[in-house]
Amino acid sequence: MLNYLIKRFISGFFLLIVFISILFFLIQILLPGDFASHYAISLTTEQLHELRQQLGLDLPIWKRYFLWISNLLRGDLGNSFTMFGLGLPVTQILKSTIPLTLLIFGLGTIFSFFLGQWLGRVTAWRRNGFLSGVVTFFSVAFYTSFPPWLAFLVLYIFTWKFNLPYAMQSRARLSGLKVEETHILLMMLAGLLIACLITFIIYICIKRVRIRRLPSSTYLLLIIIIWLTSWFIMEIQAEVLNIISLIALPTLTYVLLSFGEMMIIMRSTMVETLNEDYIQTARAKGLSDRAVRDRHAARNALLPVISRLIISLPFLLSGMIMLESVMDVQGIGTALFYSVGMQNVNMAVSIMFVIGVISLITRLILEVVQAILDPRIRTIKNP
Amino acid sequence: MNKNSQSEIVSLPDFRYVNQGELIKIWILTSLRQLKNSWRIFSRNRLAVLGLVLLFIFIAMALLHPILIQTIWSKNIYDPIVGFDVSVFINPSSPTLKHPLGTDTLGRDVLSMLMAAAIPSLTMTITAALTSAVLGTLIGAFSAYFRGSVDGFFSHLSDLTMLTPAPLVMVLIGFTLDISPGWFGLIYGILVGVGVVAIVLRAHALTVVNKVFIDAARVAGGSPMHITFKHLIPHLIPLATVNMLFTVTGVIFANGFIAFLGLTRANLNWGSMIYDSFTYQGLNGIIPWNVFLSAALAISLFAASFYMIALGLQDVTNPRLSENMFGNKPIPVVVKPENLGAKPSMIESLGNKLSIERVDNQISNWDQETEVSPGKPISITSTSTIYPTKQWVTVIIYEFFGSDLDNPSESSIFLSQMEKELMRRKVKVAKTKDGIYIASFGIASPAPPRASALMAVITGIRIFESFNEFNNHQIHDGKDVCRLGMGISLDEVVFNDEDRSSWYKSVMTSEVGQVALTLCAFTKFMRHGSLLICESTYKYLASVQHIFKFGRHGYAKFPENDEENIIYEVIGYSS
Repeated sequence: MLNYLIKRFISGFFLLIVFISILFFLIQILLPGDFASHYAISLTTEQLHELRQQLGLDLPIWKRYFLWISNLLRGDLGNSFTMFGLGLPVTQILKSTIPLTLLIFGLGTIFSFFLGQWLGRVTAWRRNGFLSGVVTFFSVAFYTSFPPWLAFLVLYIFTWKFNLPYAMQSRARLSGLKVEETHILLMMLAGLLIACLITFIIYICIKRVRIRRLPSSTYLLLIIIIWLTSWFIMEIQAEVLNIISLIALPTLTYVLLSFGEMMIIMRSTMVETLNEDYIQTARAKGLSDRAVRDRHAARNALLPVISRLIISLPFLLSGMIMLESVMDVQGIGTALFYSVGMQNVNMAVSIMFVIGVISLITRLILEVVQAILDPRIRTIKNP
Repeated sequence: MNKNSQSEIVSLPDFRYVNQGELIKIWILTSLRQLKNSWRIFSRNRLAVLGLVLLFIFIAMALLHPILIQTIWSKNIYDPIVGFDVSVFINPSSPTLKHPLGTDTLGRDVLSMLMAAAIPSLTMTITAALTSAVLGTLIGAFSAYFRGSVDGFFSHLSDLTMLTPAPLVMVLIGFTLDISPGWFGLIYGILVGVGVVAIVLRAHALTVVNKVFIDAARVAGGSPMHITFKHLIPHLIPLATVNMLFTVTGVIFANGFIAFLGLTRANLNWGSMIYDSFTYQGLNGIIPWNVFLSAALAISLFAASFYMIALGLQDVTNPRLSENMFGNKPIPVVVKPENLGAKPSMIESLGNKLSIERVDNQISNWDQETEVSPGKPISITSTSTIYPTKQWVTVIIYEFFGSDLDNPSESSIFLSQMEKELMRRKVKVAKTKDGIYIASFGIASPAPPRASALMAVITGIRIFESFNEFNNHQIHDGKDVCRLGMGISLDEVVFNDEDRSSWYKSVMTSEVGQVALTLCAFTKFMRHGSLLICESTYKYLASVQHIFKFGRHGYAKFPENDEENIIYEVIGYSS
């Protein structure tokens, strides 16, 4: 398994570099002009020339490419472009934007996973009921709703109607949701990761020991409790509450946007599972409905959900990034769109690189989880 | 080897299809029935039907707009980009009879804009869907069939596109280049087709490649291209359809999002309508809810319609759901021996003993234990949908639990050996109360008749081999188990090498080989939705009927009056 993971990561990394290189040329060759030409009106010709020299834009593109790629392999992502020459290093900008995106993405994915699989399980259990029909309809509606529209609706309802403390600007955006204390965000992220890991280990232990299986809501509660305690251990609770109140709305929108797909997959696989012979056997044994549903049906139906999650992860990530730029969250997405619009090449390409790394790592984590949960996958040597 | 059967084999009638008209008729009727069957499954999903209705509404909108502009709507008022109605004083205005959805801040008719924007959206979506499906199917099929370096190359390519989200790349491309909807859809289709769709289809194609009929096609000397296009890809198309519809929502959102950010310059788009409704709000400070809501709803419903149709199609392609759909009506087709190409002399020789019936009750009746009597029609309805479901063709393999095995321990060893072999081949075995073992083979139905026939033959050969391997056990030669129905000519089966063909011929003159031949006949006829039945076949099928019912639980029942070996008796053609 470890061997396979290392191989996957290395090949993925090289593919990423190939992709990034393509993007590097694409942005610069296909687009007319460069970063400096955005200032063609306000600067004189000499100033423009000087700016190009400072940014290194006067070199031929292949030279720029080799400079950039050799820097990248050494871990240096280059500097951001500004009107006055080279600006902040990209790594520093990324450090201040990634944690917020990751926090919203991670938190939202965890919540939507639990919500989706719970709803799917319940609706599959009482098929054809009125309530399950309504739930299915709304899941599809949320999943296929246009992200900016959903963001606007959430903002409209919560900020205008309930008067939550967010200033509303003209174009349905939050006013610069920005978190300055990145170290606290990082600590929160670490806490969340540890909470998930501990919960997963507890889940595996319970499965191995074969004592009564806990309902899935317990695991969500467990994650939340461990996360909460981690704040108090690190003594950051006061700042965290502030941050949580800031990211609540984007997270909510993201959950609404993404839980539908998981619910639909869970529901369809669960319906299939309920027709299996072993469900009949379990019923014939005289088990309670709840035990049949949770222990026999849902457990097997969960595996396709995870394998589907691996495939649809990039789509979730891109939805998240769109959402970010709509709600004006100062995360990676806003930075990406800004830098691509300005042909701020170093920054744009680096951000795409980071997005690739995030989806690569998340995919590998999910593959490991899948391999642990599904014994069939472990036996296959070359999937 | 049984001399008796060997001599009879020579006088086999040579049934071949010659009457093309009849064939086409059968083909049309079977495909119609298939369509009906699929629709039945599809329509059970209410969301899917809703999606279909929505899609039709959008198509109607796109088609109606140019007509309306030409006829009823005057160009000055209703033009989606520069139209303005002087009789409306305050813009945005709420819905009136003249403007069903009101006007936007610039005084343009919202309904007209909405309808005009449906045209580029449809173009883009259809281009994206087709591109992704075609690319995904081709890549999936080739990498599953050829494996090796082809597979390696394409799976790396898929990984590459999976690393970076396709909608996001599209947003970036739309950001940097001002491209038309068609090109936008094409690029998205390539990204997704190489990525997600190819991954899903490759996994499915791998399971198909390992099926026996691909082996059969290879043995028959089919070239790789022939096998990929004729045998493999037809199995992938349904899944490709589902996946392309699932992924197509991404392109709708990406395109809408670019327009929403105000990046596409002049293209009219639902996303740009939302953008405009916010941008021009500054003119008078009113949020134009009619524009905003209708555009947002249109874009969401458009994406939802594809998603919901995909949900319904997923049900159709799900073999488990379609297997339950036995309640379809068979088509009333009478197959005459002339239509099947029998020569007049042959029909004469068959005489009254060949009764040809087309069968018209529903398979759901098969659950009832009906008494079998000649003259009462039964039905063979192929259970195929657009997805390769399995048809269970049942055949009697061998009566070996009778008098010929004196030593009980020997017989039990033989039994276990055979069961092992059958289990390995995934052949279902049922034991009758007389100790006759009956095996049923699964045959994937959408395979071409020749391939399925060959597959049956090969399966038969393999089982035969395993019988022979057991201590050269003499095959019981008392009864002609297999000559129940014939319909395939030996000429149709061609092997590449000499060895194999001589082996094949020796097999074909044996009992088990003839069982396989029977199977060929069945598959061929089942595929065309009709069956040539002689009286004994008829009774034989009556026994199949019971296996369908009890086979799952491991035993089968025969009609009460089978003392005279009704099942084995052949009255048909051989005399």
